[in-house]
Amino acid sequence: MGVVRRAARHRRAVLAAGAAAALAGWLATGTNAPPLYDSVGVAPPFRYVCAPAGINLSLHPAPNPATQTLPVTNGQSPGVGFTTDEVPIPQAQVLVQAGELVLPPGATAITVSLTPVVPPQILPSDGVLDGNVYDIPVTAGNVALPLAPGALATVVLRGPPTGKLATLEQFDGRTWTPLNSTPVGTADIFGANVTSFTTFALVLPGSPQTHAAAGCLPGTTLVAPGVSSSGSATSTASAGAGGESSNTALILIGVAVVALLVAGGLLLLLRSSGRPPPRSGGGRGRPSRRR
Amino acid sequence: MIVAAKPQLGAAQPRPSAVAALRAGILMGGLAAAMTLRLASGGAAGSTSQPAAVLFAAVLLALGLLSGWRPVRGSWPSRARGAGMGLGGATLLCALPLAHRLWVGVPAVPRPAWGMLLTWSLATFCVAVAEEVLLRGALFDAVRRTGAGEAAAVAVAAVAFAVIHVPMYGPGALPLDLGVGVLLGCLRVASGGVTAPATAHAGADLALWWVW
Repeated sequence: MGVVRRAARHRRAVLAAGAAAALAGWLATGTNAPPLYDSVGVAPPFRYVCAPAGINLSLHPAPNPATQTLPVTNGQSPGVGFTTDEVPIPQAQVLVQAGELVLPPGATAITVSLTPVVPPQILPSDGVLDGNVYDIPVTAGNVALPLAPGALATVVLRGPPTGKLATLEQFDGRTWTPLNSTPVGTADIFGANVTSFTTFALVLPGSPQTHAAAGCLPGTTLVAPGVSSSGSATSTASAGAGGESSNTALILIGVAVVALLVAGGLLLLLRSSGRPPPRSGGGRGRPSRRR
Repeated sequence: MIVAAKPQLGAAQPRPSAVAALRAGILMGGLAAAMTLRLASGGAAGSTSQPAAVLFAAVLLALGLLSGWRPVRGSWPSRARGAGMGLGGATLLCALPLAHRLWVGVPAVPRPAWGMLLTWSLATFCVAVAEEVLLRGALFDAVRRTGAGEAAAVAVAAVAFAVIHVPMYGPGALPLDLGVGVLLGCLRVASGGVTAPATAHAGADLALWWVW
């Protein structure tokens, strides 16, 4: 009887510890979180600056602008790997390798900003904006920093859940230029390499829109024409994007399949090595499979 | 007089704990490869691709079975007790987020179109059960057989569960999935099988359609 009681008490203690862990995880993630991040296609709601039809902005948290200041070390620009802080999926990200920014003399720090803004008057001519427009300046003091010749930075943006292939486009104050874009892991997130820091947005193919969305959050900055730093946008046409990303996907699938075959083979080998040897004498038939 | 025969162990027979550790390592490598396959084959749809999700589930089940894992042959009452524990776990996982949603009115998580309910539910169920078979079944057993104990098995399976979801949901999902992974591991320990964690996992996943 005592053993049974002890076992029941142990079971209750284990379950209580598990419940406490789950509660701690939920509180640490933020109370807007679902029960768990799993399933097929669970993503937090997209945070809009300007709401498309049918979206009530008052029910959606605003997208977060973010700014980061990084010190210059040994006269070289630091590496940048910076995201906005939406949880669990940031809506914007910029990546620059160390030493790839041209610094003005005497610069001691650089500042990177990711600011969701109201779309400019000039809209893309080859489709419709998909989600937010982001202003991404990289500066030292008030001086916009260009990338070194031949250097590339990467911009990654999340769009609303459409399941469609969007293209990252760059606005230089006058025109939108499509970039060679690639889906990044999760649905509706796309990245592209860029050669300058200006204003970026995802664009879905379709008839060009004539005006931005009806309602926008108050207080979001309007994009001023000519915010771009020196240097030109990567003008690679997006036509090649599909081919390149499908090649990468095929390579990844091949590597994963080979790895899985190796893993399966090794697991089979381990199973056979873990079996007891056949009885030597008098034994009939296969060795026992009891575990 | 009956003399017991000495067991004939081969000279090169590996230690059981070393074999179990190797098996756990291979299972984690296979898990990473399966997730890579899911993301790469899902294309632009990523984690929302149902065919890729079903393929992922099939690969996890195959890995679990190849490692030698088999469901515990328990009696119907013990299975029912496991399912009951799992339903309790699912209710617990949903209760606070649901209460918060009703109280504060947070926006809904985007969900697939209603016409996809059946296929979405099947794909979600398959992924949840397959993840439990691999994590709280095969991997849990392998870690426990290393001699590290049940706490280590719970921890390793929870970390693996949290890490495989980072490519899909970002690092911000780590604390929640780690905590939920510990709860699912505790359900495995308390019930002695994967029925309880699989029921809790699938229940919480399927609840997303109705309440989020």
